Parts: sequence; structure tokens; C-alpha cells
Amino acid sequence: MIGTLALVALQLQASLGVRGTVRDAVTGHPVRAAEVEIARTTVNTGDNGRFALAGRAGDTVRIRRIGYRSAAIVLGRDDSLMVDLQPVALQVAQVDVRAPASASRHSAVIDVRAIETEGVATARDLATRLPFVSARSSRSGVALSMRGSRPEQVLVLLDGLPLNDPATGSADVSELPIAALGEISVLPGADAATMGSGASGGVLALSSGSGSTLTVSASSYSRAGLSAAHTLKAVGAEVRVGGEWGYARNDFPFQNTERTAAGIPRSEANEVRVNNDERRFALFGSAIIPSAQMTFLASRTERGLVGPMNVRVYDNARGTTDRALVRVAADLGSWKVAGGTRLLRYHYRDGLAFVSRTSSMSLDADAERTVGSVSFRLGGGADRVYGSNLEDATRPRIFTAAHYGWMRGRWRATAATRFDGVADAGARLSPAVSVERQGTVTFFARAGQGFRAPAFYDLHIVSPQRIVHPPRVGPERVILDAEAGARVHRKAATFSAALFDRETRDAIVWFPGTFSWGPRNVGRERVYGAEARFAVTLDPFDLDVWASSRSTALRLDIDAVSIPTPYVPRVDGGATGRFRSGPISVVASLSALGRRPVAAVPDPSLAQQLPAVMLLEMHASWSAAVRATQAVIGLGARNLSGTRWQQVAGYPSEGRVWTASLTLRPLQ
Amino acid sequence: MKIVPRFLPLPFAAIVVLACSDSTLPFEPPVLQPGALILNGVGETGVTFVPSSGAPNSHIDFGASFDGATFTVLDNIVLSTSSSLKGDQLYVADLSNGSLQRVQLPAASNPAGATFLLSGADGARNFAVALRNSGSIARVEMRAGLPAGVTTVANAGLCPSDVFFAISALWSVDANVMCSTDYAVAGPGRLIRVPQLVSDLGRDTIPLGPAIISPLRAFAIGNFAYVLSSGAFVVPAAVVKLDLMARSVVATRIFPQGAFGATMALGANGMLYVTAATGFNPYLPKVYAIDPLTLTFQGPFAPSGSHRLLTTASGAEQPKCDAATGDAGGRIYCIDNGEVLAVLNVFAANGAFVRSHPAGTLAFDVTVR
Repeated sequence: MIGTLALVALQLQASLGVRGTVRDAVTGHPVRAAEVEIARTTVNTGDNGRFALAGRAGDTVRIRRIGYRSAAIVLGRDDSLMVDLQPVALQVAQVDVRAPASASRHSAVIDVRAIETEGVATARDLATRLPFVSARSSRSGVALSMRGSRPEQVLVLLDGLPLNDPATGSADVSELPIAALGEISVLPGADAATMGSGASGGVLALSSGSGSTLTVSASSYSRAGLSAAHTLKAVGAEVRVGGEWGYARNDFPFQNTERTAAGIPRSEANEVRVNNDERRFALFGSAIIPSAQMTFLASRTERGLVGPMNVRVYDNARGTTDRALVRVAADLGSWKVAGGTRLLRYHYRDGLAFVSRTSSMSLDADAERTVGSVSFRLGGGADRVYGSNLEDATRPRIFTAAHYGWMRGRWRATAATRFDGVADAGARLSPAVSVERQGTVTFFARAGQGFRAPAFYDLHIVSPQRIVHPPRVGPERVILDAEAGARVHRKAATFSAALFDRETRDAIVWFPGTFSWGPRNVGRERVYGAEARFAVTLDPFDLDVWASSRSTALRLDIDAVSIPTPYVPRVDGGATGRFRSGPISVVASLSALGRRPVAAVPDPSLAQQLPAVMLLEMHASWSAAVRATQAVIGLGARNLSGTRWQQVAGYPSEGRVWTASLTLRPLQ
Repeated sequence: MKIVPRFLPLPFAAIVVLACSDSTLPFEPPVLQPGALILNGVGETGVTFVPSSGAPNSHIDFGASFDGATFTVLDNIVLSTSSSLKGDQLYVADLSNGSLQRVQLPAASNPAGATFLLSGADGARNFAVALRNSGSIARVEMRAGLPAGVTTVANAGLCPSDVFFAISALWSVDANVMCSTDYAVAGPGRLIRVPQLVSDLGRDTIPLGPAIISPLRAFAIGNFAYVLSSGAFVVPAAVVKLDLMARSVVATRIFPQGAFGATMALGANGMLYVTAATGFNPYLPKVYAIDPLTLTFQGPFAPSGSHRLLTTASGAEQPKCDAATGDAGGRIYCIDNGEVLAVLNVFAANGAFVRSHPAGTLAFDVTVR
């Protein structure tokens, strides 16, 4: 009897089902594809971070995932585990994309998968939904601004690989396939101690998506899109491949107010936008195994480059952007190594005879090792830019960095420093410190320095008149980027707010000259302001509200005047409300943009500013299960009121846009 | 006429433009007093009148769709144009009442210099505009209360950069560069005579000589014309004098090696004032005064060159004149552009600093009244 009981007990012990969830310790989001091992049996977490495995009390559960510190837990009698993995890749920003010390800064994380069924068909649409980000479009891509920055001060990463064009310094996210994206971490503020040159205004960290999906979309003005991604899981690996195709004719009607200003009757000033079309095609993929991660992306975007409403000279101009990138990261024992390459080619045709080609190629490699609380990194790379309007130029760069993390009770602190050596920009040291006190109300503060090396255009631009600007522009230096804020989590509600201040010396700004525009290092630039975000979930309602205000002043020493940064609104904000009832979901999204100067002037007059605008977007979707597939049918409208506004002066907008979409996903 | 590049390479985001001077007021007509009239081509565009009396400036706003680099002034009327990058328009400002009229020129024609033609018997005001990209001249006829009429005269050169009317003919300054593409130099500049405005009776083409590369600006004085060539790296700037009756080059004044010309103005004292620089970094254009009769540089000269000696209040040499002209007394009016603001510096005929005025935002042309 006793023996029987002992055997049953052993069997019970042996058949203990262990369930758990693996989360990111910083963001709280589930970590997929983590390897969970108990007694030499291994499983991987799913998209929701969950796993189930058999184990016995006393067994050691080992959890590993590239980009995180490994964790080990001894099983007790509790068969339900919640494992928070500490992201180390955040520090290195190559493998998995999240904020360095993001817990000690103001940030926001957006789940692309959650909003792609809400009428967001392109990355251009997506950019307008990001909190703390100001996006504007004109005849080409999307220019981003964070905390009052200029576009080239925003560093955009995909799985840690920079997407900024080495030629211009700025990143255009409009051609990115949103089906390739998973999360977007919005990290306002300088972060050169981790990211190096360019991260002087903010970082937009994109990560590859997960799961399988198929979306067909259509909207006003002959816009259509098709995107698909499929995920395969086998032998501990997760491989995802997909593609995206998009077309937009964008032939919307508008009134040419410049013609009416020239005395042309209004009835003759009603026009239709021409040469405003866009064609996009992209292939992407990612692969994750417990000790390695790979990302690739190849895309081609062709656009008509119509000019401002009264300018006809661009009516036949077209541009094609080709992008390709590959990134591989791996755990090699105590070292984490990563390498990548990216190609960007821009082809411009004015429709007559003039053709311009610009290509850039970049190589990046780095390695990281953690010893105790200190992680060390070193790496390097090179950028090469060549084209018909540029002198061929190659720029090597190296860096070494160290990061120290400290925790005691409720207190956390980090200290980091990075030394960069960039050809044509010299050697730069970028330190940063942060401190945080966790509690019901978590307080955080951060301060650092940074820099931005001149882009190739800043150094090597050649005007159409063949006049070479000597490479005399130096790096711009963020001598102080500081923020202090607080976060409150209460049940289903989260509130966060921060004050920030950034001072930059030798800002690289382009000024008009006698024959062409040219870059100069100018005086000092100060940006200060505040931002806040509130999110609450009261089933069946969700509400997410953010607001930001800032003052920008570029002090020009020669003229002894200060001017605000063009196109940076003094205030902006957004609100998204969701209502779900069974298979029905309704989303209303409001975005507000304050007045913003179209030219940098001290105290710009009303005529020198674009008016404030508030845009409402409504979207309704209906979800149904068809066998093992979830189908989501969506209908909606952007700019519901049909407001005619301008993102960039002289460029008309399309007003109201109706959207429809069908998304198919496997049921979880 | 400054040639504005047609292609500016891609997204240069942060663009700084203008600022207002506290002393600038909206235009208050009529202003019949001595002073300088300045063309603000970037920022708070338009014309700014700077009275010599020290009274507040007046300004006529041309708006954001303007990028002109030169103007032509006759009595109270100011002509300037926006390039194809800003919508191909002729701007006609009336200083007597502060009004502004804009005339739409052919799309993508890339207007440059403009000039006055004889007024019609019915009171119509007539103008001519050089259209760079279409190689033609636009003839603009404006009648009160009616939309402006625009006709074009073709075959005015590869890239007409300026136009003037003299001895009963229209003259086109052909820069002879590939305006509509990449501004590549096709050959030396030319002056093309258009005998009738709207007929096709043929053209007389006067080669300006191998030293005249990319001519920008021209003035006619009597039967003679003076054309400024901006030059290039290996060919310095030059001013060529032509006998319009004989239709031939009389003389050419070559600037110092490496100098490229930026602006040329006809001073009220009859002198030509050219600004030219010998490098981009630093970019420090100097003032050269040229006697149109002899085509010789006029002093007093700076110690190290043939440009005018201009001294600041402290006695140092005036560093920079982006545009300049002279008044009847030989005083020099010099525009010094900062990063967004312009300053008008006035110098005596001997080069001594006289006074300084705020002149609005970046300025590219100046004349005196």
C-alpha cells in the first residue's frame, strides 16, 4: 500500500504541469520565442509569452532568449510561473529593440499588430499615430520630429539596425512595410551613450513582428494594399517571412490658392493633384532561435514627386528608393555579437533629362560582454556614399562603450558612456546617467550628452553648378539632454509625465547662399518642454491620451536673434478611444497639431505659420472566426471632417479618406 | 540675375529663413524721400524701403511663394520674379500705394530677370520676363481691372537669364547653360537681339566672348549694354561692354583670378557696382566699382586688391557686401547678409563708414532713390 502510494506520489510529482509566462522586465510585454528548459526538455514561448511544460518540484527551469539575460528558477510547489527577463540587448540596441535604461526615461511602446486592423495601412499612417512624435510629409517621405528636434536628430532602428540615410542623416519610414513590424518603442530624448551619433533628439526603435497575417486594404483616391506574413515554428526556431505591396494614385482634388492669389478666378483654380502616385513593394523576414536572431528587409518604393500646389516644374519628377538590409545577432558564450549591412539607393528623374543617383552602403559590427553589473561593447563600421551629385566618400567609424547598472531596493541607477571615433567628425565622448525610484509613483531622472556627426550631404554636397562646399562643418553637440518625470500604475490605468530640456551647440543648419543652400554650424539651440500620457482600460473601453508642449529656439550668433525650429508645433497631442462589444470594435482617434512656423523666424506672424489643426479618425471593425482563422473586416474614415490642411506649406492634403480592410489571422 | 539651382538635392530639413526688424512697418504710401530699396529674397520676402532719414522702414510683403534674387525698379514700380521652384510668377509692386500684383507665367518656365517695356496707348503696362527653362521671353500686358495677358517670344537663347529693352528691340542675355537640367555650361554667354516682340523676324546673336561664362545680369546705358558674367572656377567673373548699334563687344573687364560675380547694380552716379567673392569659405564678396565709359575699376581701392576700400566704424576693412550700389554722391550702399537678417551699411565715397540700418531678411539686390 505504502509502495503504491509512493508510486502514485512520484507519478503525480513527475506529471506536475508547469505553466508560465515570460515577460520583458522593462516593458512588461510578453517575450515570444524564449527557450524554456526543464530537465533537458525544451519548449518555446508563444506570441503571448506563455509556455507549458512538465516538471517536478526542485527542478531548475532555465529561460533563455537572445537579447535578455538568462534566468534560472527552481521549481517549487507552485505550478504557475511569471518570469521577467532583463533585457540586455536594450543596452546594446542591436539584437532586440527596446530602450536602453528605458525604465528610467519617458517612453511609449506601440503594438503595431494591435492597430493594423484600425485603418492603418501604411507606415505613413502609422507615423501619425505615434505618441510624442510629430510627422510631416511633402513630396517624398515622412520627416519625424521628437521633442522639437530636426528630422536628422531622430534615429530610427529596425531590430537595432539604423535606417537613417548616411547621405542626409534622416530616416524616411514611409516605405517600411508595417506587416514587418511588431512593436515600436518611442524614446524621446538624446541617447548617444547607447546609440552614438544621431540619437540627439530621440530614438524610434522598431522591432520585427510575429505571427501570421494577411491584410487587404483599399481607400479613397485609388489606394490599395496587400500584405502577408507567415510564421513557421520548428525545432526551437521561429521563422517569419512576408511581403507587402501597395499602390496609391492620390489624385485628390484641391483648390490652388496660389493661383487665386495671382488673380486667377477661383473657378479656374480647382485642380486635381497629379504625379502624386506611389508604388511600394517589400519583402521581409526574421528568424529567431534561442541563441541567434536574423532580420532582413528589401523594399522598393517609386513615387511621383509633385511639388507645391503652384509649382509645375515637378509634374514629371519621379523618385525610386531601394532599400535592403540584413542583420544577424548571436550569443557566443559570454559574448553577444552582431553584424549587419544596409544598402540604400535613391534614383531621381525630373522627367526631362536630369537624373540623379545616390547610393549608400553601411556595414556595422559589434560585440558585447557583461561582467557582473557592467557590460562592455565595442564595434565599428563604415558608410560609403556615392552618386551623381556627391563626391564619393567613405567614412569609417569605431566605438567602445560601457554600461553599469545598479539596483538596491526600490532604487535603480545606471551610468553609461560611449566613445565614438568618426572620420570627419573626430572623437566624441557621450556620457549618460539615470536614476529611478520605484513605487506606487515611480520617479525617474536622466541626463546625458550626445552628438551628431555631419551627414555626407553636409560635408560633400556638390551643387548643380559644380561648386563644392569644403568639408568645414563640424559635429553638432548636445551638451545637456535632461529629463525628469514620474509614472503611476494603478490597476488598469497608467499615467506618465516628464519635463525635458536639451541644449545643443554648433547645430548643423542649412542656410541659403548666393548660389545654393549650404550647411553651417550655428550658435546654440535649446528645446525644453513637457509631455504626458494617460492610458486606461475599463472593459469594454480603452482610452489613450497624450499631449506634448515644447519651446524651441535656435540662437543665431551672427544675427543675434533666436528662431523656432520650422514645422515644430508648440503643442500637439492625440487621443485614441476604443470600444469593444463582442465581435464589434469601434476606434476613434483624434490628433491635434498646434500652429507651427513654416520658416524660422523670431516671433513668426500668423502668415508665417500653418494654422492649428485637429483631425478625427473613426474606424469600425467586425471580427469573426472562420474555422481556425480570425477574420477582421474594417471600415473607417481618416480626417472625418474633411479638413483641408497642409503638413508642409504649399502642399495640399486630400481631406477625408475612406478606408476598408480585411485581415485574416490564425486563431490563437 | 542669380541663377537659382533647379535641383536642390533632396530633403534638407531644417531651413532657416527670416526675421522681422522691429523698425519695419507695413508699407505706408506714398514714400517720396531719399533712401534705399532692398529686395528681400528669403524669409520675409518683398521689398524694404530704408529711408536715409532714419525713419522706420517700410515693407511690401511678397509672401512665401517668392524666391527672387534681382529686381528692376522704374519710378514707383518694382518688378521681380519667382523661379519655377516657387511657382513661376511675376511680381509687380507699386511703391506709391504699397500694392502687389502677381502674374502667373508659363508653368515650369523658370523666370529670371524682368524689365519694363513701353506703356500702351490705352494705359496698359507692359513688361518682359526672361524665361530660363523655355528659352523664351514672356511679354506681360496688364490693364486695370483685367487679368494680365501673357504671350511668349521663343528662340531667346538656351537659358535667358536677363532681358532689357534698348534701341527699339528686346535683348535677351543668354547664360547658355543647361537651365532645365543641371546648369552645365554649354558655351560662352550670348546677347540675343529680338527685333520685334511678337514676331519671328529672326535673331541677331552676339557672342560675348570666351571669358563670359554664365552671364547673369545686364544694364543698358544709351546705346551700350553691360553684362555681368558670374564666371566659374577657372574663369573669373567679368563685365563685358557691348555696342548695341554695332552689335559687337567693345571691351571686357576680367576680375581677379578666382573671383565669381554675385550681383551687379547701376548706381545713381552712373557707376556699375559689382559684388564678387574669391571663395566660399569664407564667403566674403567685395564691392567693385566700374566706370562704364572706360570699364576700369574705380577706387579708392583696398590695399590688397582692385575692390573698393570700405572701412567699418572701428577702421577695419568692411568684410562682406552681398549686394551693393551707389547713390548720386558716390556713397556705397552695401547689403551684409547674416544667417537670416540683412543689414544695410552705408559708406562715404572715400569708403568711410557712415551708418547702418536693419534691412529685413536676407537681401540680394539694392537700389537707391
